[in-house]
Amino acid sequence: MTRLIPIIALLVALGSDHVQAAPVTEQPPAQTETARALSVGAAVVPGLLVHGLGHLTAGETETGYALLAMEAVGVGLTLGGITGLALTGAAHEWVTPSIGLTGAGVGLFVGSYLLDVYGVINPDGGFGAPPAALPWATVHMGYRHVVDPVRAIDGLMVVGGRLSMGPIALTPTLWRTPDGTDQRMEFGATYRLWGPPQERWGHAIDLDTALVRHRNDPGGFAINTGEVVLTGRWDMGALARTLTGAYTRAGFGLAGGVIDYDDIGQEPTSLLLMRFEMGVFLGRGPTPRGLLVLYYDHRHDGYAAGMKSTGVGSGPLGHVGARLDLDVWGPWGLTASVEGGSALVSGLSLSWKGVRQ
Amino acid sequence: MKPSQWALRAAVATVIFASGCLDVGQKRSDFDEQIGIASAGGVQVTVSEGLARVITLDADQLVLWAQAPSLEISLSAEESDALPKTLEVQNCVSDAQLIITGPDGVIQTLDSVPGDAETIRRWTVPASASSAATWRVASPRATGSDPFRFVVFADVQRRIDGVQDLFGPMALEPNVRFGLISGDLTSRGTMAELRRFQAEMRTLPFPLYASPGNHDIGTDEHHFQRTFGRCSFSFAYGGVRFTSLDSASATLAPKVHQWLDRWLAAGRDGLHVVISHIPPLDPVGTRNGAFASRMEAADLLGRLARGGVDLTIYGHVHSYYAFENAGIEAIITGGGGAIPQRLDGIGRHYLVVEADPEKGRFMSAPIRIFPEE
Repeated sequence: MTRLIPIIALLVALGSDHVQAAPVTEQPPAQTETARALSVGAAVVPGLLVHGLGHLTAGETETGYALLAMEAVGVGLTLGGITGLALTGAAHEWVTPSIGLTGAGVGLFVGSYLLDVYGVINPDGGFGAPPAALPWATVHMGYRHVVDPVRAIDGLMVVGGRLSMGPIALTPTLWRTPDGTDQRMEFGATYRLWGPPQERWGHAIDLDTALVRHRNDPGGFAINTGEVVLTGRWDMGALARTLTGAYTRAGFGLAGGVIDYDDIGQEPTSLLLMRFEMGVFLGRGPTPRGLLVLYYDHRHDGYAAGMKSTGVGSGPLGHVGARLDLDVWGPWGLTASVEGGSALVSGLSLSWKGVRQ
Repeated sequence: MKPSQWALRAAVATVIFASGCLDVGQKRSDFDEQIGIASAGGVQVTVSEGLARVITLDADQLVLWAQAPSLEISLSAEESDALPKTLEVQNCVSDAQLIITGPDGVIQTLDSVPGDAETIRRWTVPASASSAATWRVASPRATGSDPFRFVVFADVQRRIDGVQDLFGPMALEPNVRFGLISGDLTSRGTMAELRRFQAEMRTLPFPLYASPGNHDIGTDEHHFQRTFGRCSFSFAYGGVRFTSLDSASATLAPKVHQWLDRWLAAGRDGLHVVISHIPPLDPVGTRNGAFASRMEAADLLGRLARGGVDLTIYGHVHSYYAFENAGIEAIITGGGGAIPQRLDGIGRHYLVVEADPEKGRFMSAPIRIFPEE
C-alpha cells in the first residue's frame, strides 16, 4: 500500500532512508483505443463519485484502489472536519484544526479524481517527465491584469526570483501597480527538511517561511505578516506508472502580523494558510517543455484573495489558480497564470532559469 | 488531445469558474435602488432613500414596510384628489405621526391609530384637491438628543420556532425605540421563512430593521428585499446615524461602497453605528468568518474609522465578541439561536445598546437567553 496512497507513502518514507524518487518500471498492459476511451469516460463521469474507476476499468487495479482509498480518506477527513466545526460551533479553540482537516480532505478528494483522469488519459508515461535538474536560479518579470469589482487596481508589474542553495531556497517577489500606489513585497525562505537538494526533483518536505508587506496608499493601510508553512511534495510517477509526470503538493501553516492603518493604529491579524497543488510536466526534452499547475490556495490576502459567493458559503474559501510554465528557448521561458478569488488575476511573465546539468 | 489543449481548457475552466463569482451582491444593490418606488392607478410614490418597501398602492390606500423610524414619502397623481385615502406603515415606531405637506406649503400633523399589532400604524388622510404631497412619518423623538436604547441580534436561522424566547424579554427592555437585526433571520431564506419571521415580529412593541445574512439570500437573492426592503440603507434617529451594509456575500457591492461615502458624510458630526452581517475581519483570523478579501476589509475599516464611525456591530459568528477593528469598537452578536459556538459561555443572547448623543458614546451589554439551546 505504501506506493498506493501518497500520504501513507510519505509517512512511511519519513521513517526510511532517504531515496530519490524514480519512476516505477512496471510494463503497461496493452490497451486498445476503445478500452482507453472507456476508461477515460469511466474516470470522468462515474468517476466523479467513485475515484479510481478509470484505472480500475483500464486494468490498473492497484492504482485504482489506491485512488479510491485516497478518496475515502479525503471524504473521512472532510466529514471529520465538518463534524468538528458543527460540534464546536467553529469555536476558536477548534476551528483551525477543523478547517485544516476539511481542507486536507477536500484536497485528497479532488486530487484523487484529477489523478485518476490524468492517469487514464495518457497511461503510457503521461505528457512528460520531471527535468533532470531544477534551476539553481530563476528570475521572472511580467504583468498581471486584475479584474476586481471593488478595488481600483487594474494592473500590476511583478518581478521576482528563486535562488536555490542546497536545502535552502530564497524567493523574493514584488508586485507593484504602475503608479506605485499599491505594492506587495514578499521575501520567502525555504528549508528542505527531507528530500533531495532544492535543485533535484523528488518527494520532499519543506519548511516555507515568508515575510510579507502589502501597502495600499489609497486605502491608507499596510498588512504586514510573517508566515510558516510545512509543505510536502509527492512525485506521483514514483508511486504509480500511470501517474508519471504528475506531482501533488500540499502545505499547511499560519501567518500572523499586524494591519497598520495610517493615523489610526495597528491591530493584530492572522491567516490560516493551506495550499493544494497538482502539477503535470509537459514534454521530456530540454526545450520546449513545460509544467501545468492547478491549485487551491486558502489565502484571503493578496490580489486574488478569497472566493465570494451568494449564499451560505460566503467567505471561508480561498482562491483557485492555474499556471503554465513553458521553457521556450534555452534558459528563457514564459509563464501564463490565472487566479480567481475576489478578483480575477491573469498574467504573463518572462523568465530566465539557470540550470546546472 | 495535446497537452497544450488540456492546459488551455483547464485555464479557461478556471477563469469561467472564478469570474462568475466576482460581482456577487451587485444584483442586490441594483434591486435596492428600485425599492420604495411604485406607481399604480395614476399615482406615483417615492420613499426617500428607499427606506420603506411599498406593499400596496391603489386609490384607497398606501401600505409600506418601514426599514427606518422616519420616512419621507413623495406622492403625485395624474388627477386631482386621486392620492390614497389611507396610509398604513408596518414595522413602524408606535409614536409615529404623519406630517403632510401640501403643494401650497400647508402642514398637517396627524396621530396614528394602531392596526393589528403595536408596530402597524394607520392614518386616514384628509381629503385634498391637490395632486401632489409630501408625507413624513416620524416619531417626535426622532429629532431629540436624549439617551435612548436599541436592541441588536443576529443568526436566528433554524431556531425561528424559538424566536419568541428572544422577543419576550426584549419587549420588556425599557426605553428601547427599535431593534436592528444583523442578518441570518432564517435558515435558507425562503419566502415562507422570511414571512414567518415577519409575522413573529408582531409580538414586539417596537420595529426591527433588518440587514440580510448569507442564509437569507440562499434561496433567492431578492426574497429578502421583496419582504423587508433594502439590504443596504442608512437613517438618522435621535442624533445618531444608523447604517446597515449588505455584507451577506462576504463583500460589499461597488454601489454600496459608493453609498457609504455619502452616509459617512451624513454621520460625520454625530454618533454613527454601522451594522452588517459578515464582519470585515474575524477576531479569529484563521477562521475567517469574514470578508473574502483582507484587502477590501482593511480598506473598508479604514474608511469607517476615518469617517467617524463609533460602533460596528456584526453577526455571522455564533457567539459574542467585543473587540476593536481599525480602532472602532466592534461587537459580534450572533446568538439568535443558530448552532452556537461552544466553550464561549454565552449561548443565545441579544444586545442592548444605549446611545447617548449628548455625551457622544454608546454603552452595550449582551443579555443572555434561556434556554441557551
